[in-house]
Amino acid sequence: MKKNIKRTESRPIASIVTSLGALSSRWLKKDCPFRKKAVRRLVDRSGYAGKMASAMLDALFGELTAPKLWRLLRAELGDPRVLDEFRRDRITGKWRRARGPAVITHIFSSNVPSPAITSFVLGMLVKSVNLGKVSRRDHGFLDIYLESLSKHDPRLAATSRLLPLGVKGGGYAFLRGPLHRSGLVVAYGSDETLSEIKKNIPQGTAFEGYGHRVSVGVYVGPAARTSAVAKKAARDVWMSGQRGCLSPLVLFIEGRKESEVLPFARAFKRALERDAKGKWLVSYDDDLSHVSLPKSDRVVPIKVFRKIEDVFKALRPFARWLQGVSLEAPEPQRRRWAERLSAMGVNRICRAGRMQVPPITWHHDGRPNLAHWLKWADWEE
Amino acid sequence: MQDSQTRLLDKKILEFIHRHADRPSTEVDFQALAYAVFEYQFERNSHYRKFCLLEGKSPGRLKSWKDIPAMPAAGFKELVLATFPLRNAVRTFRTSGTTGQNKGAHLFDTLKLYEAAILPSFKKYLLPDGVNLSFYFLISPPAESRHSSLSHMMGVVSRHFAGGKGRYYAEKEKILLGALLRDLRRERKKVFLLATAFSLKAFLDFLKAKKIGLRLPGGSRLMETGGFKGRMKEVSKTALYAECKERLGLAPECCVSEYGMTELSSQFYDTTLADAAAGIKRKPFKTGPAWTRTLVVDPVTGRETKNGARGVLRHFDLANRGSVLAVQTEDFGRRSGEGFELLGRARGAELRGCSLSYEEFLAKTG
Repeated sequence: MKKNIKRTESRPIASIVTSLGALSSRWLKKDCPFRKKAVRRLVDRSGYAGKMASAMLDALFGELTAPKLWRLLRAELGDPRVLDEFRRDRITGKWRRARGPAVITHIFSSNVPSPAITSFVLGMLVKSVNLGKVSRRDHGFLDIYLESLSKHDPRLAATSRLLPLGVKGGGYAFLRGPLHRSGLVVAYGSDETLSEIKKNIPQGTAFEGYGHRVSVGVYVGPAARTSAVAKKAARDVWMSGQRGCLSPLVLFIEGRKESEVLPFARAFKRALERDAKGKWLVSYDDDLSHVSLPKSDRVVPIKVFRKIEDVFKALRPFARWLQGVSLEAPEPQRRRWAERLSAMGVNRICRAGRMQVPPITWHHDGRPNLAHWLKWADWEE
Repeated sequence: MQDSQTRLLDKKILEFIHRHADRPSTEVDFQALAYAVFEYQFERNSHYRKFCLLEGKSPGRLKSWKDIPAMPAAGFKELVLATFPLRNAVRTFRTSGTTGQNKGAHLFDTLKLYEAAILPSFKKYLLPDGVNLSFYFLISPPAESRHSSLSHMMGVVSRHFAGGKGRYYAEKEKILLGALLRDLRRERKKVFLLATAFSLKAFLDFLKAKKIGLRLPGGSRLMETGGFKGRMKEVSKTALYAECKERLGLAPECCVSEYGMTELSSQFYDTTLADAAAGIKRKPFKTGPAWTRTLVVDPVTGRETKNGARGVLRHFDLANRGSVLAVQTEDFGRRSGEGFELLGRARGAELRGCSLSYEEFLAKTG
């Protein structure tokens, strides 16, 4: 690997956003050869159904278009051009400028492929050199994305590199070089993996770890028991193949009688089996004193509750790991329950069916996406 | 204490087992009892009843026994699948898993049916010639592994066919290789080795390392089992049997592979030895007793595959009265002869991802 990769510091942020956005628009077209290659990879190597892979790419690149990237920069930085030069802050009247780290090392997990692409795009937005290590178990399609970028914008592509995969059980010592050169390390994986990686990072290097997470679905009221909601709930579950941090593992549904829940459960199971081909084991019971996460693939427990308080109580043991909740409830309770859930640590609450299409502005793990990757300089003229 | 309905049903199942110990069952007879067991389980096994309702199936609405909804084997990990209250459980067999939390459980309120189901097919497929044998178990003894259905089964076999004199050569996950070699060398009688593929391979490797080739007396035989899932990487059966010939002098015709699941009460065997004893020349296949049926189904549609096409195995076992009689495995196979051929045992698909798994959760909150 070349030691000195040229940064894009002098390139205006607007130009980077336009270029990356245009590439995303290409990927959104069904006949894009890189997209086709990625779908094939996801089906053959990662075990996704074709429909899942396609839906996943739409969800990913639909959020990486130029307007959405620009909106993200505005949401997190106020004025995106602080990445280009000193800009006067409208509130304080002071001049400020932001710079990303010279080098970012990204270490990805095997479960879902999308974060690798998003992470690199964010890294390019802050004008850093991005080094990425994908999982040995599942490479995802970052290489295909970078290949498409090198055709589309060779200068930008030249700031990205894939790192070697290392050997099984060999730890992260082989990444010593890149890790010591990096101003920031972004890592995805189990809590154990993250602490293992941390051991290899020099003190003082910024670290962003995305670890274990649990998501669930909560459906309150008769309007949430319809087959339309059931189909959306199924989409939430199958779209990332139950592997993502936003994949609901357990559904909670309000109901008093079995006859109220059965049609929902049936429609849910049918939708799963139709869209995510194959048999699924859906169970339901009203024992909220014992909520266990499924141990196997293609298993979804539905917990039937009478009082929403029982759901909050059942979620308490998982609070530390809670990520997203797909929530269906009548207004005005919906707002109230959203408040309660956020107080428990849930960092994304959305409607059924939207779980796998998080907006790029979502505070992943409750944090800004790129604002905290930056170092600021303030100039009092 | 069992209620009268359960006692009556068990009596019927036992009669069926005894009546068909040595001969096949008709579709009509099998279906009649299968329906009775299904109705009973639908009524008493609440998770199974819900599963059936979600499949849109209930008693009185089936066209044949093939329509009885098959519970995925994963269900034994996720749900309590019993037709009786937990306090009535006399024994729990656990499936092997990578960690304690990942194990499935098969609960029994009586072992009567389970034990009755073991003997006829064991006799038919492993002792068809009634030869006097010395039993060598390379499997841990039942007293040591109370949760292993395989160990329990071996205990029953030893009691019934070896007068309780079978010897065990596995102890706390360790195989007593030296003792086994010593005893086999001294053995005068014909030998019956009963082993998991894992323990057998360990013994064969031991012999190889010592450059020893035993010649077991003619009529000696081997029962090998996949080890009830997951313990080791798939050992090629052909390679294993070739080594048995080289190191033990056991021809492949004397080796029978048993296929069992903790989730079932009955077992399946290769027809190799039984065919040889009856002078039948054909390609051996796997088959089970008359109170079982096996379908090969398409893993996506759940429908029976056609013309011997590959699919996943779905077993129906009438002796499984206390849990569910129909179990959907993730084992690949295809129709062969009057039974089936096992093409590979899919590892239990476990949830992977950045989502926290149950075991990890337990480990953290423990």
